[in-house]
Amino acid sequence: MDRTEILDALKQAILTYDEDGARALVAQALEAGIPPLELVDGGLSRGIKAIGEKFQAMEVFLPELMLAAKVFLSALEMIEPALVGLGENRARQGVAVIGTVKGDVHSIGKDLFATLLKVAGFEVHNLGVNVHPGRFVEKAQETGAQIVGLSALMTTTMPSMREVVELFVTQGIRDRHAILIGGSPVTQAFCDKIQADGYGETAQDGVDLAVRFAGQREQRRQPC
Amino acid sequence: MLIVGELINSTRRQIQPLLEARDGGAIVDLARRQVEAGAHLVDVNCATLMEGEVECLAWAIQTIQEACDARISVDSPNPMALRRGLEVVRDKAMLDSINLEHERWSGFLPVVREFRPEVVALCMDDSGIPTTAEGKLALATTLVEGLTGAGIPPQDIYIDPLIFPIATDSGCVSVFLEALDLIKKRFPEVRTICGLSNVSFGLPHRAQINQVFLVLCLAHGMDAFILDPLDRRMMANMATAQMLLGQDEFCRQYLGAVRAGKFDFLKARRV
Repeated sequence: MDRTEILDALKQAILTYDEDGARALVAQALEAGIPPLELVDGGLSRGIKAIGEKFQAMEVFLPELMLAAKVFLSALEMIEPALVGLGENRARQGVAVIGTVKGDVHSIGKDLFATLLKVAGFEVHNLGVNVHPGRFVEKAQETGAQIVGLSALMTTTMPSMREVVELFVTQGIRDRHAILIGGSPVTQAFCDKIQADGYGETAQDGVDLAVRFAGQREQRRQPC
Repeated sequence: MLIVGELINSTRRQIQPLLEARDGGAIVDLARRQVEAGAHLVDVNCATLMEGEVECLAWAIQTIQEACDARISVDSPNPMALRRGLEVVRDKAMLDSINLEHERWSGFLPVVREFRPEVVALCMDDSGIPTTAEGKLALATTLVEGLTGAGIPPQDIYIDPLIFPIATDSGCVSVFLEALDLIKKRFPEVRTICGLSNVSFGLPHRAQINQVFLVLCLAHGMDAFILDPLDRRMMANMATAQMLLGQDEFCRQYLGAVRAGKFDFLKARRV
């Protein structure tokens, strides 16, 4: 197989959820000296983009999207040492800190968002559920995350989102981090009211917003 | 079998405006239709009205009670709304729901002690929802001990082991059913309850998944469901499964349902 064929086959492996096939192709490609970054951009990412489009069109469904992400991340795991070895870095979209807010223990949508962010090229720090506002601030400062993602699935815990936004304001670091919010009871109107930066109705909407906002902010780690 | 009709819930987009406008006619109609379809209790939730919740919940309960005989399930995350709701309930109420999250438990327990309603209790605490059957049993045990300690008899406790979407975890229904078995074995007098729609999140033909999940739950002894009783296929499946599981002597309930026209929706499909 030549380079183009391998890249197409990688894309196809994502589309057919073929983890073993994807890993075998990666091994073969690295052996053949194809630049590792090209495997990601020219192969795996094209596959995941196609799956994302099918998901939006309701041709594939949530479990299939998650399976495709698993295949992607499994293949990526093999490619990453090669990238590091070459001193190359996968074009990182940015750093994101995400979690479900205080008082709320729903995790599924938030974890899906985390997975899709990883697939999109973000370094993701997933703080879990029932996360105290202070933890978001700490982790955002420590990692220099451009994106802070908050999830709430209950009307009773939505006010925690406001607390987090306000804490970033009182810490004087509000302009350094884009705060994105999501979850079934959350709306754009609520986002405007608490002055968060963006609201994503679906996990994919959230990723699109994250890509946009990360491009506008550079990573700034707090000096330790 | 106990059926709680779930339709009067302000998180449903078409319901919130009816509650805000105090449209008694529409609310009563929805309550009546659920009762006629087989609901024993009508769940009332006004939580998305935020500061208007307390007053609206009391209004909705009183309005429904004036017009039909259904018992009421008072559904709120807010202890003040719950208290006001339970004050106006005429018959024995159900409280939906308590769990082991510190704030929820400590906020609701005084209300439970005062009004002694039937209680829906979710297997969930500050660290989330357990993903193993043993973990769910452990929380069920804490819930049962706490609630009986507060004066609620075991037969008035409805434990919900909580189901995850099958889309995100292929094993979650097996774990759920195993938890159900464990809970029923450990606490034979305590009842079990669950909602259905979470299981089908993220998949096509959700109603189909919910209906089959209901049948699996029935086979493992589920005592009660919070569901949409206007889903005719769901209710027909329930009557059929109960008959097949030996809970319907001489098939009386099943045949009664057939004669009452509850299976008529199947006829249209024959042609």
